[in-house]
Amino acid sequence: MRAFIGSLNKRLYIGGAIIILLGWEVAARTIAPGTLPSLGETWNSLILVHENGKLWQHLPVSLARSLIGFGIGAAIGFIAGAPAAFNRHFYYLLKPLIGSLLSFPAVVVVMVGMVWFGMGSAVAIFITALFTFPLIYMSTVEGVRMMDAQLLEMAGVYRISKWNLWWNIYLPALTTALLSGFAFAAGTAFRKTVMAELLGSHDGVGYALAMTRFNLDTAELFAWVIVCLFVAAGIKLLLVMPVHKYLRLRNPPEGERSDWKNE
Amino acid sequence: MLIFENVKKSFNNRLIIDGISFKIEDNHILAILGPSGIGKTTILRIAAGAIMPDAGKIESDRQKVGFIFQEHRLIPWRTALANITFVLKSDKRLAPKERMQIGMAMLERLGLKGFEHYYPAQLSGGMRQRVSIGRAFAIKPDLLLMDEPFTGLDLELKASLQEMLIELLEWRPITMIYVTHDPRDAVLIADETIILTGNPGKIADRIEFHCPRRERDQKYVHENTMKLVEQLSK
Amino acid sequence: MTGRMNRLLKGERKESLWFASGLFILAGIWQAMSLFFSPLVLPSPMETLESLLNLLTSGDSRRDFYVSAYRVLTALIAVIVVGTGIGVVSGFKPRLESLLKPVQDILIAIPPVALIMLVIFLFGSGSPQTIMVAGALVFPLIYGNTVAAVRTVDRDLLEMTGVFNVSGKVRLRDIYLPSVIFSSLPNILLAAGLMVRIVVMAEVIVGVTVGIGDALIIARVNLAAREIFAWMLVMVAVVLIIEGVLLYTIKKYLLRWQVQG
Repeated sequence: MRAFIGSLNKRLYIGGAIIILLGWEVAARTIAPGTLPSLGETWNSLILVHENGKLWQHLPVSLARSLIGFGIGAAIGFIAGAPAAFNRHFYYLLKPLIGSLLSFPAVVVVMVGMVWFGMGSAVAIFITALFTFPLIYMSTVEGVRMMDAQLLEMAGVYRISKWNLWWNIYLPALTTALLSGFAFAAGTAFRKTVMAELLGSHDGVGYALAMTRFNLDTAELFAWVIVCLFVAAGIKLLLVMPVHKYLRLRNPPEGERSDWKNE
Repeated sequence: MLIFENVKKSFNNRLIIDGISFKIEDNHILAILGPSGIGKTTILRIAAGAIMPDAGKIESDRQKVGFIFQEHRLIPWRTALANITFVLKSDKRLAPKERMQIGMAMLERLGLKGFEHYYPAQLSGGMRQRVSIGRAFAIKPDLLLMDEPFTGLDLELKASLQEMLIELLEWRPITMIYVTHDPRDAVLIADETIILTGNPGKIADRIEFHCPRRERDQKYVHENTMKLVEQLSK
Repeated sequence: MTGRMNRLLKGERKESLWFASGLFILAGIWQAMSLFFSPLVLPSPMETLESLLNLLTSGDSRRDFYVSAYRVLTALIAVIVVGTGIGVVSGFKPRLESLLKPVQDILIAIPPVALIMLVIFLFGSGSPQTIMVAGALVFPLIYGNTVAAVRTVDRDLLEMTGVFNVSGKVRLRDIYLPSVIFSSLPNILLAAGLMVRIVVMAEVIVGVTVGIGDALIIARVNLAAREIFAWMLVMVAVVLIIEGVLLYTIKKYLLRWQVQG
């Protein structure tokens, strides 16, 4: 995750956004009005989509699929990740699987999914789960890797009971890594769902996006894009930022990492 | 020549150094001795012209300043030779070929002949510090500032580096300020030592060493180090 | 990413055994499962390899491959040049960075498919548009990391150059530029793999008439799962080759100065 180094000049940021909006408006008026909708037209389309029920027909479906897919993927990711985190052999055993999943082009997997499940919710959930899994898996593994070696050594010296070890050292480290993994994966999950729907469903935001192509309704396309942006912003505000704040509070101490990968 | 007259400096409303005065004649070496955090590096920075004092006067005819840091600060992706020619680029009068010649000569003088095209990662810690020292000497500075360059090195390595430093100073005498917390360092090379103590840092004592550097033998060094240690613990 | 690069560079051997076993087990499971399903749904590894061979020998398929490869390379070069260029300037001028941040944020937040649809609407569907949208999707990665690279140049080194009165030009050439390039290498590696996937995705959605995306669309219409799988292998192999080649050249020529293992 890229860190934004340096402070953000809020005024210039807003200024930049305004320039984009202005440029958009100017382009919409001067270049063929049929291609690029003006801000007004887009806004109207947004309202329309809300009023004629399309928004409430498609958005919840997509969100639900995202959630379910994410849940399944995360669960499997954690279940696979836990043993892999502690046993390096298991980790390397799973490595080809994870590696291939990360290098498969998503579209192709969607196509395969469509061959298997036909069109509908199954594809979307499948794709979301499939792409969430490696991310959560990696987070789980990283989480254990990050454990402070000194803490572990201290625990060994004081002969801390297994239970204590788990509760006070392993679990916090795991949850820290998991949370940041969740935040990151949440963003991509929705995007993957939409993509799967675009090709392989009869409803959902992705489907709506695909339909605008056939209706040649640019305004509606923009409206749906804005919906997506809102969802992304929503996820960021409700999920990512609180997680980051929480993580910064805990602030893992500086120290050697329990890193058997580098042994 | 470098003169400090009643120099004061504060950071964030905290007075770091107060009433610092000293005079270094041409090609003489001043050692500044004192515990960590007392303001020695601040004095160096002011001498380098990097920061301005809040009060006091500075007189100097320095044009070129050389600096030897505690860490070697060599460019990792340039060879030993390139690291030396790098700082020579500031001298517009030198042609690239001349820069190379100076660099090669310096490396030989540093005892690093054959290592000119090695990267810092391929050199030992001592070698890197040698390049760092040679780099500062190569530009023929009017003033040389050294900030605890031998801290953290093992005694044998430190001894060999200090020997090399003394040889370099014989070859090319330079006006120099040498900052350290180890009194033995001061006795080995300084003409005059000032001891900094207190908060804010003030000059507690001034000691001169008149014996020529070459002649400072074990006995001399030992005696005077003891003297300094006494002074420091007051 | 750097960790992975370092590990590849170190060439660990013991782990390769487990890795290879994992690969075999994967292939084994694949083979076993393919017995339960029709070849139209889950082709066996053998059938996939057979299909792959057909691909390699077919002139049409080779053309698809070359066209897509051309698009990937073009987009990659364009994005590296533009992304690094603007990134360096933004690195030095935080105000420019703030000004451009809305663009960056939008490009990151927008679902890739939505951006592709946007481009189709505005500029039509075709090869240049595919390249353009693929570039736009990878741009934030390169740009963001270049800016970070400029900001994280070693301060100690910079102080050294200040003390020795090194000119701005020399500082740029000997400190900033190498530092930024070396920091960017892992991301360029990442971008290369990413670009292959994104170009193919763009091709599929844009609906190009030639290229891997086109081959995939046709395969899907024909329910030729074998071909889809075969193309999948091709793409994975391509990504691995690109990363391998890049890694090799980087290690051999650019990173000579780094500590060896």
